Amino acid sequence: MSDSQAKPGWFSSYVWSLDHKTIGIQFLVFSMLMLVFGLASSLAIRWQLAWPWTQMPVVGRALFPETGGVPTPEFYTVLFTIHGSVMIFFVVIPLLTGWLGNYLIPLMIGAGDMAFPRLNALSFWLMPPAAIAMLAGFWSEGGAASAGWTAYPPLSTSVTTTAGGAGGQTWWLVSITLSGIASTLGAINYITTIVKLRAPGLDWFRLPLTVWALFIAAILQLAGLPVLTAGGLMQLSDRLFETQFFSAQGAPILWQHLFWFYGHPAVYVVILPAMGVVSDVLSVHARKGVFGYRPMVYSMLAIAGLGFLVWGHHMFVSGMNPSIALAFQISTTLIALPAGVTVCHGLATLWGSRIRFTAAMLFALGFVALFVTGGLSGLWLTSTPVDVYVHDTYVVVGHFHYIVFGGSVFGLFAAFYHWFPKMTGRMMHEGLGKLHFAGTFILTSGVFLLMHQIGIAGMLRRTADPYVYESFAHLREPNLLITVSAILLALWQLLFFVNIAWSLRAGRRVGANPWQANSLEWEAASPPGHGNFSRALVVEAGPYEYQPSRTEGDNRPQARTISAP
Amino acid sequence: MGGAVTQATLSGPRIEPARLALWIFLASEALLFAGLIGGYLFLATARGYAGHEGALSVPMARAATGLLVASSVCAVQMERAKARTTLLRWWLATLLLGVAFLGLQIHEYQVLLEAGIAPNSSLYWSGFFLLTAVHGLHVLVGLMALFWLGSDAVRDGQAGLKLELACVYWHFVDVVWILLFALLYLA
Repeated sequence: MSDSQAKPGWFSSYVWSLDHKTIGIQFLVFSMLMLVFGLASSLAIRWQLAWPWTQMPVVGRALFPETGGVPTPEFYTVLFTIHGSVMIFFVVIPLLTGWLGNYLIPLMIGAGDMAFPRLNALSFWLMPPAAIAMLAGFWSEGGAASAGWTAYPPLSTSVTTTAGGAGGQTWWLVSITLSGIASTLGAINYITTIVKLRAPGLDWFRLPLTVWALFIAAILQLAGLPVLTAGGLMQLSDRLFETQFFSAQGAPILWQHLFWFYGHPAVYVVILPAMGVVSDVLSVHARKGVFGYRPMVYSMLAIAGLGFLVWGHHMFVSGMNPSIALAFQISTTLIALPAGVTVCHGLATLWGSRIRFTAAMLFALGFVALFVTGGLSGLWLTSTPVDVYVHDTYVVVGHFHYIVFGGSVFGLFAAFYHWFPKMTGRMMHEGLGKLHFAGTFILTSGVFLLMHQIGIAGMLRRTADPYVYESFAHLREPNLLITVSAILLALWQLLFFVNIAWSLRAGRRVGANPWQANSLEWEAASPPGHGNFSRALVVEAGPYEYQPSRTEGDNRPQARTISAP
Repeated sequence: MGGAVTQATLSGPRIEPARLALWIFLASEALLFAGLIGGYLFLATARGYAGHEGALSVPMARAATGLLVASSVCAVQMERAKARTTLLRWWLATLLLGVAFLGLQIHEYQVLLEAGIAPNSSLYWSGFFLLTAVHGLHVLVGLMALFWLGSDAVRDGQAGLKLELACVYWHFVDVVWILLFALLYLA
């Protein structure tokens, strides 16, 4: 903080701050708080599926005093709605775009801050009201939204079809619209910053892949969100002013089109930044440049572009014309090509490298493994005849979570272990980190792998008690295993939080560049002061120039070393 | 803007950050209307609209269109104004014509509601009211931006970048209206 005249107070430093790093960390803390709701609701779902209609531990008696702590069927519908909505809109999207985008973009392009710091602060401060609106549903008549995170009409538009239809669904729509505006403002800022504020010499093809991925994700947000907002406005006016867009006089299926036009690209919003992070982490910790930099950039662009042409594959059972279904099947299958390039790019980067098995590296490797697994089941799901059979079963739930947990969340963990020294000036405990990885990796498949099998056996999602059907009664045992794994997986994350708490106080202090990495954020102090860089940067190399044959001095920083002006 | 980097040292194209950001914003706004208009057209093909003919006054809508286009023209004159008095004159004209457009819209809503036509009357009226209301909200936001940034410009004696960008937004709102006019009143 060499250039600051007067030290600002605690409030203006940490709360009403315009500094991109603080805003990034605000997104991080906010998402961690929202994770409590997302995680608790998922555990409650698992509890019900393992031990249906028994007293729910910890929160049962407080939530259901009239039944002695036993959940109600209506509450189960609230659980899966809140779990999906909170995890997507308030945990993974804010972490991957809000935290990574704000914290990393200016640092990695050598800028002092975002192009519009005020707009940036606004994009964060719209999130708490959005979260409050989401949770306000719990106190409205009938309870929180319970039409699923996809909010299909007529379930979502009628006030009588679900308990949450009375008031909670309206709050849900307000919440989604607010968080959509926040993301749009953020995306405008990210794109402008990357286009305009790159350091001298930092050409487009010298950008780290993380920045490319965040840039492409911002374009996806910008193009997809307005269409979701359009659908949201129609649904809101159906509920408030009795318009007929999605009623029997209108077309309920129109919502599905509008929702998935955003909803599918949203999947790439949460996977592309994780891919970019993993590329960078793989390269730094394998001491080798990435294999196929340009193919990777073009593949991410192709995934994003194709992402807008595939939404119909969510609607194969909606009664669409089979020839249209075929078109969507083909466009979806095409995505396997660029997605395959990204995986080969990761594996080929490792070939002939000198891997340092750090916690960050392990999570990046875990990403590659789990993304392949989830990706292959996705490829299989694109086939319309297969999808018609497994639609709305646990196959889809398993596939989706392999991508979003095994993919995005593993990418987030890799990012956290990799950039924690930059954010705090201290290393994390490597041993605890590796232990955290080992348990998380095994338990991830413990939770999500068997979902494919029970899905093929026919178990539908969103069913509070599948065992009332005789043909599903034998599925309780695999569900029991899934639930036990889920509880262990949640508890295992305590290691991560213990590690953070310990490292913040006692982690080894580090200098600017503890990983001997090349990209520009490692030129700044750890943690970087206001304005980020104490000297002018001139970039004269790409971010991936490593020499695996050497053990010392095997990296070449992107910025030329010149004395301070 | 924080940081020591200056325009001359950067790698990016020579466009002001605010101008770039505005065009990106307009792209997302265009997609919002694309979603709404796309939905309107989807319902037209899936269900068809009937029973609303004759309830709308096309001459009045044509007048409203004229007002908004005229306002856009005045906005261009305002940007080009060299003297404070000309700037002030065109600024007031832009605002007044915009307010008159909103006034006509509100009047039209009143006429319709008095005739017993509401958003829940039919599928067509659902689309009509939502599209015009969302557009009207954009007109209101545009007027507020023109008022606020225009008053700064009048004080400074010349239009700066911010007012110029507000005018670009204003033209966008105008273009969207022309589309809506064709779609809702003439089709």
